[in-house]
Amino acid sequence: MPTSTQYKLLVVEDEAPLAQILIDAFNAEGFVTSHADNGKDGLDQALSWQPDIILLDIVMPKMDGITMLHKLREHAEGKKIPVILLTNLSDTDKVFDALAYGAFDFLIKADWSIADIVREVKSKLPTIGQ
Amino acid sequence: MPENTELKKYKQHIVHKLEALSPVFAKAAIGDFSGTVVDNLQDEELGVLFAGVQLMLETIREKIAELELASTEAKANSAIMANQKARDEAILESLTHGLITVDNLCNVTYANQPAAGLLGEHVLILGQDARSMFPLVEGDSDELVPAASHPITVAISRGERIVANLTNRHQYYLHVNQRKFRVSFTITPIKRSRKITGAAVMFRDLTEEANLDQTKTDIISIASHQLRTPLVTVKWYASGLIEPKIPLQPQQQKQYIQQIYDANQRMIDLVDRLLNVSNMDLGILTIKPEVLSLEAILQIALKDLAPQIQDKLLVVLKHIEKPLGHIVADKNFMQAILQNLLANAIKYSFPKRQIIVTMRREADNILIAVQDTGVGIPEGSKSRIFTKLFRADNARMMASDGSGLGLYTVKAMVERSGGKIWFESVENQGSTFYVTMPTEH
Repeated sequence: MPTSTQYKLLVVEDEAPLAQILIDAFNAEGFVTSHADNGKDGLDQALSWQPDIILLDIVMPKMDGITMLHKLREHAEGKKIPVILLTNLSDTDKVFDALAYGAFDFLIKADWSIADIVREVKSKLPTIGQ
Repeated sequence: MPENTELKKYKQHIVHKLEALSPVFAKAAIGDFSGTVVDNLQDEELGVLFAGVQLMLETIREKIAELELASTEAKANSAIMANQKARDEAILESLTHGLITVDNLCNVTYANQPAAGLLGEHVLILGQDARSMFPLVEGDSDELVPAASHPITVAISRGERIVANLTNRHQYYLHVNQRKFRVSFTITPIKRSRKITGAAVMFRDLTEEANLDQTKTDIISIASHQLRTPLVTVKWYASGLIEPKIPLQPQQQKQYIQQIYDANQRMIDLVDRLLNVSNMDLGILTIKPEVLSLEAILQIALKDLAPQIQDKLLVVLKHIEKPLGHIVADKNFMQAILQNLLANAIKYSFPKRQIIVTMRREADNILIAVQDTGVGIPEGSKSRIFTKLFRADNARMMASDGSGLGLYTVKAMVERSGGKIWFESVENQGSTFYVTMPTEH
């Protein structure tokens, strides 16, 4: 029976403490993780590393999350990677744009505990071997 | 032919009877209608005539009485009206609002003193078009609202009351006396028997309220934006600590508590800064001027910022004139001013460069200059650099944690202390911020 060990998760988040605890929590669950602190780096990593899922912040320096998502979808290698947006309540307008660009889902940061985020992400992942 | 004796007698008889009328008409001729022919009403031959005269006299007397009463009332009324007018004028003049009335052609028919004060005595001329004396600009536009769509025109043509206030979607500014200021107004059409004969325009300078309202909005907006990240940080780390499914090493637990502590500190700092800004905007910040040594304050600021200076491998050079003398200013203000300018220099400097702090006497002032070699301020952002909540695009790209309050607060504090602040900057080369503070006399 395959485990989540094989899942690769990319966290794109400019707030270091928030990125850190996400990485800690997913590492503890057996994920392989990587981190980018801006959209530009996030895009490069997504295309070269091909994660199974991306957690993507919206407001970031250099390139924001919406632009990164837009650009990701322009590449053949980036079309299918599921992206879950990490948003704030005030980002509602941007979430609609993002969903139009093919974001998979969004989580409002302040509504979720860290364990709930892990559970939610795992529930979104396809069962290995399917 | 001899006159018929009977007829002659009869004529005399009638004339005799008619003589009863002479005193009555004689009096009437001089305006006295008190005469009467009441004794002759029963007369067989002329009774009808006398009754007619009697009725006429009585009618005239009644009419005169009515007229006299009306005239007395009118006199009384005009006294009341004069009183009312005096009272109305007193009320209109004591209003804090400006009030002008216009006729249906929009020409000014009345203006109270506050209106003249707000619009300018020399501008406000009775009988001339109010729309040119009440020139409105809407929102951020520089174009005057044209006469055809001027609210006074609209109120008169539609017969509708038009209101613009703080909560209104339309923001109107008056452009008079070489100044542009936000106004609130109520324009009420004046109607007489369903016809619009003009309008009353009541208006007020809204600058202060608009500023306070803006401060309130800004603070809510900053609070909700800037507090979010530390709040989420606390939530996630606290939930990580209490979640039994996430096993944490003791070392990790300590790290988590440290993160919660740091996020909490960020919130405390932000709340302090917000409070400062709001107090500054509301003008309730008390300042305690004292004799200060700028060098000592610089030392404290540099000590506080040592970790950031070290992180970026920066060198701080001090060019301080000796003896520099002292300034008189509020210690907390001066600390905040230097701390902010240095923190910005460090934040926006390229790594491994120099930050040069210069302090020297210039006439009755001490000039402070903080110079960095770094990203600088783009040309297009220069005019707004001291504006509350403004952050240049390149600053935003470099660091997402700025509140856009620093330089706004610094400028307010410098000016409250009787000093001046300005800067020189070239994008991708660096910035120099200058502050002058008055020296001790």
